[in-house]
Amino acid sequence: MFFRPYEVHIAFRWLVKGRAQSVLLFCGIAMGVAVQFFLSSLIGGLQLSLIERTIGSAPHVYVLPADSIPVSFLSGDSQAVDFRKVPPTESREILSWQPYLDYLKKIPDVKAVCPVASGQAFIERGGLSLTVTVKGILPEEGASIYNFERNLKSGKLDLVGDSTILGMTIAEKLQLSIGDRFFIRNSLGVGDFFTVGGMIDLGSVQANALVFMSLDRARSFLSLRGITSLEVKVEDVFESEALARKVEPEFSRVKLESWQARNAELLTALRSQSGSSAVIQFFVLFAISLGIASVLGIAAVQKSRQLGILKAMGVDNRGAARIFLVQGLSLGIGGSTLGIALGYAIGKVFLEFFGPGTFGLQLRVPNFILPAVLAIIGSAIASTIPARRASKLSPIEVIRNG
Amino acid sequence: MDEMIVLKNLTKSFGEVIKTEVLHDISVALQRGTMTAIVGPSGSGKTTLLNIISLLDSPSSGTLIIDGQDFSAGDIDRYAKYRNAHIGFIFQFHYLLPEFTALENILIPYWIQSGRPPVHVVQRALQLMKEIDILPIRDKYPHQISGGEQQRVAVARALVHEPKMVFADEPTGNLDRETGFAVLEVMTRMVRELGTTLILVTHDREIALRAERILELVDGRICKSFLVKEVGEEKTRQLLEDRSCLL
Repeated sequence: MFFRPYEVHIAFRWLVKGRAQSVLLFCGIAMGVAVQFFLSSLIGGLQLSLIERTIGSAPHVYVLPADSIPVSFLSGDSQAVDFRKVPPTESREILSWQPYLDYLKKIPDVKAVCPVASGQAFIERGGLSLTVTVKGILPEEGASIYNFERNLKSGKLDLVGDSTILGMTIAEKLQLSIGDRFFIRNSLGVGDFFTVGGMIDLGSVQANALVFMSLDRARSFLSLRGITSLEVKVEDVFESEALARKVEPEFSRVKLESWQARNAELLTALRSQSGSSAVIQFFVLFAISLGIASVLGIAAVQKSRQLGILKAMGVDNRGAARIFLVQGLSLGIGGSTLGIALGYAIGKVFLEFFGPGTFGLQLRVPNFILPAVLAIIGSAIASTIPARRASKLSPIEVIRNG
Repeated sequence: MDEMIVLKNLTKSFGEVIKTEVLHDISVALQRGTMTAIVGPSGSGKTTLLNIISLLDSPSSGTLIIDGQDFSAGDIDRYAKYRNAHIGFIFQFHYLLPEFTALENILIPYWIQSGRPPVHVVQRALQLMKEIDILPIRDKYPHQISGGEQQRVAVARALVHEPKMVFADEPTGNLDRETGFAVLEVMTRMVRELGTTLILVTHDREIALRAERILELVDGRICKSFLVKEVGEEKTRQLLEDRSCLL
């Protein structure tokens, strides 16, 4: 055993008998851990909610046509034939997309892959013309990526024939209802009639300006020979960028783009938020540790006589020091346990009052394990100050001075 | 009787830059199972000598043999271990731990040595308390009992693990005369019963008279060293009155 029985015996008795001090320290640590727990739960919840709103109902990785067209190695010589030159269509479309789809589907982390034909279009109604994005998808895969089940506000998830699913912004602006027919024109000016089958709310104005239709219908409407992208949804959203980078070398003539690359500003904001939260948490912990160091430091001075006589009776320097380490650790463990309970209670009350209408608190295990472990380590480190003092104390000095 | 403590040319100095020697060339042998009183004026080095032979402090030079073991080199951890196992202390101030009851205080040396005391050790402590009339205060805290009782608890604490030696520095100095003698009575009786070697520092001649050997220290040197039985009580009193050095 790391601690000898007498060290624990004496440490606990001193803690129990110095009740007021111990209670104050306990409460200090508990409050610190509770604040840290609550803060990390709050920030964690806020971040998750932000991420969920941003990409919860959106693809995580896009497979897009490559922007650059390979240049001939015989460039400069007009006589040379550039046999590798990609037909212009391939800079806008992916023509042979089936192998990519098959490859992506086999990756374990991938939840859904959907070929998408998308393009700009204009809905015209009653003299109004609204710019929208048409997205042709496969019903099942698209529904999984865009969470149709959860986000459907009215109508049904039907993409057969002319039936479409509209984002709420379009429906509201153009006052369209289920079953209404509307005229939509593509960028080349060719138009056609479609029916409102369902309405969805994807959480942002941009996402709500989408018109979903079947892949085949969209391809003919947008005059596409292939598709414009493959949209991928993964299990762990934070692995998207890594997945994109891992898969990219396997593919040619396409590029992969993750949601992180598209939302760099959001990520920077989240990182800054995490950083500031870590700074606050560090200073809370630092303040607690200073408190423990100062209170136990005073206790070591107060207990000089007792330590002197204990040393005379055979307690060695390490034993004297470890009495204070036991105290620091006990305060840390006890205070952290109380702090977790307190933080959890505060979290529950917060959820009760501010409720699910706002955003969720992330009352997860790592959120309380980390502050608790840090508080325990902090307490142990803080207790080394009185421990060193106790270790250095000479029994003769105490006995001589009375 | 064999020798329990042997000092040969022992010196003790304090200070790093300016060294002050407080004990000069002390050589003496103390017998096992006897009671020795160290007397002398204030500042003569009594307590310093006691601290060294009780392994609370180390000598600056010379030889210190305790129970056949050489302790001349100041190994602090070895000192602590030996103190815990074989030495009991009684000081002028009781130095009981205020957070522990009388019985718990008595059991502290056992805790330090072996952990939680088993029933037979607690029984022995209780028996000891009974013998020195402090059983009724077993569950009282030091601040709840009288000075005499506190010092008796300190005596019991020094004896509970049946040490080879007990060192007492003015054990009755903080008590009134009557209580002081009662405590001394208890202490000497217990020490004799257990065959313990007792070394006592005192200012009090009456207390010194109870010892088998008296050592008088003046200015850090042994001035007188004699056996009370050999010189007789009358002569001992005269010797203690006399300021001259015999050695």
